[in-house]
Amino acid sequence: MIEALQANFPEHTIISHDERALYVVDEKPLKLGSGIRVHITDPGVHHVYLHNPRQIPLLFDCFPENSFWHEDGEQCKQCECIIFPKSCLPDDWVLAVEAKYASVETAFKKEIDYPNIMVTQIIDTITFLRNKGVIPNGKTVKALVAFPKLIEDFNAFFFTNTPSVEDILLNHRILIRAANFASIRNNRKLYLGELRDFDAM
Amino acid sequence: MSRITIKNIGPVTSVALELNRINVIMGPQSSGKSTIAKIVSFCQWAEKRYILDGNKFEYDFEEMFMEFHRIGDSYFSRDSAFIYESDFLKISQKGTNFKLKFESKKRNADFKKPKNIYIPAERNFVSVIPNLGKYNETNDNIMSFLYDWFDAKKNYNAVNPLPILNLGVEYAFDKEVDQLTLLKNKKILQLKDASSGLQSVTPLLMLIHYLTHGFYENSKSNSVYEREEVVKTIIDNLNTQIDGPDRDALNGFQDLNDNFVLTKENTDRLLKLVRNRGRYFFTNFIIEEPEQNLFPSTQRDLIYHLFSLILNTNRPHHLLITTHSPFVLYAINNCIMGKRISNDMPPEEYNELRSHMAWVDSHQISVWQMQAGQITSVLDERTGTVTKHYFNEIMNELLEEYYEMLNYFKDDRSTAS
Repeated sequence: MIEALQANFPEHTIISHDERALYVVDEKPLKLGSGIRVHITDPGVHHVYLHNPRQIPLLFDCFPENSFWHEDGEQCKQCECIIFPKSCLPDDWVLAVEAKYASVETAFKKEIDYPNIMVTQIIDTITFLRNKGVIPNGKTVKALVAFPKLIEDFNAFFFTNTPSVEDILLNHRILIRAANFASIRNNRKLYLGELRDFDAM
Repeated sequence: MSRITIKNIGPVTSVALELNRINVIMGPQSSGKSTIAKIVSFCQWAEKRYILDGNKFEYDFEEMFMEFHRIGDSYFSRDSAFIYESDFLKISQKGTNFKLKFESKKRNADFKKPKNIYIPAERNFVSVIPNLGKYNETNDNIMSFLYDWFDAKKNYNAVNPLPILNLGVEYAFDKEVDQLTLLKNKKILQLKDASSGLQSVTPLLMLIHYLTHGFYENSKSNSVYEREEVVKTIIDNLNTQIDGPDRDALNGFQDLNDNFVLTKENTDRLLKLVRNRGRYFFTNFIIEEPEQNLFPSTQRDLIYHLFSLILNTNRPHHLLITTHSPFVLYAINNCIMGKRISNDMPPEEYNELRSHMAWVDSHQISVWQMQAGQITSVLDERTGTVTKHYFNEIMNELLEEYYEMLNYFKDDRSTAS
């Protein structure tokens, strides 16, 4: 997967981390920078949290703006980043993350329709990467749609409109959950929206 | 598999469904869930009575259905009808003529006697009203439940208490008192003084536990009344069970003479009849709103416990529940999805899941939604689970209203200073 990514998108910078706690921040809406940045200590700003108690070595491709273009010249919607274990084995998980720094007042506003926009960003990114041969067609990808500024639980009712979680899984082979965090058990197991600790391997 | 069709009875306008091993009917208040449950319950009972009483039904429909389930005359009109069809017979009713029509479909010697229980929404009254044994003025589903409760609770005592899910509480019937022991401090309180949730779930759990296990383990078969009835039925039906020339010889035992020969086939048939009617084989549970008064996580645990008791036995217990709890529905979804992926998930992983003892094959469960007097299946053929249902629509409406108001929300903390 790493070779395919580098071959297709040489301009991307793929970074490696194996820390126990990883904080993914979109610095642009927070006016701290221009894109996605991964911190290894709590950055003190709203973030998506990856709990990695076994310190599994990971690779992050944090997409630069306007990363993906279709052959007809049309821009492809994209999410923030994809993350996967450094082992790059066929059964390893792949995680896509999309975050919106919306306030509680706007996060679920019907006319903005963030849930559908975010789901579309994830689906379009994964479909694009599948078409480029980066992600195998048959592989189910995991995805987080996150609202880092919302501290209250929101995941249970995120997908109450269509498409449902099942629709997305069946139609796009993407297992999606609305949450601000995930826990990594090993290179094959990742828990979306759960904070779990695991015994040492 | 039995099938029920109901037209224009109470809030139900048109419903046709095939009863599965586990049946879930969800819907708002007064949508007709309970009407369906009560008709099914009545038909299961009427079927048993008709067959055990020797192909006759000598009960009054108004008393045994309408009074028993507290269904008013107003539920019925000229257009009302229901038809219940099982492997053995068809029961039908039409209009406001409260006469039932029975049609036998096949020899009923194969009919295995079920224990039928209707657990009403009002079940927690057995927990709160003292000296209930004195009340015997009515014959309705509440009193019927009360008798079953009295019968069941004698089996749970200090030596053999009933754990109440994982709530750290045990029930025992001690010195004629319903007692709960809080395990963390061994404190004892009476059920009548416990929380409404415990008062609701204790009788429910006990009846389910007893009627899936103790009832059968104790080889409890028939009451004295039922034993007499079975003997009478067998004698009454000896004639009809034996075909051909032997029939005449059997007209009255006094006429039996040396010429009478029971063929092996007829003997086997009679033995099967005695076996199938002499004891209970399984329980038909009908439970109104199992979620009543329970915290969401307890609702979940109750469903897992209920399914595991009903499914993990060699008896073909059946279950019908009515619900308006999304938590019940999501718990059921976990039970269905668990079975679906059971071959792919490693045992060390699924053993950690709370639901894993309650997993059910999607072919063994049906989930319906009541709306405007009609019923629709809500199981998604792709996943076998419930993916779209009106709990989501209601949640959306709630959230929309909340977020509509948030548009006008001002943080008073900043203006106050």
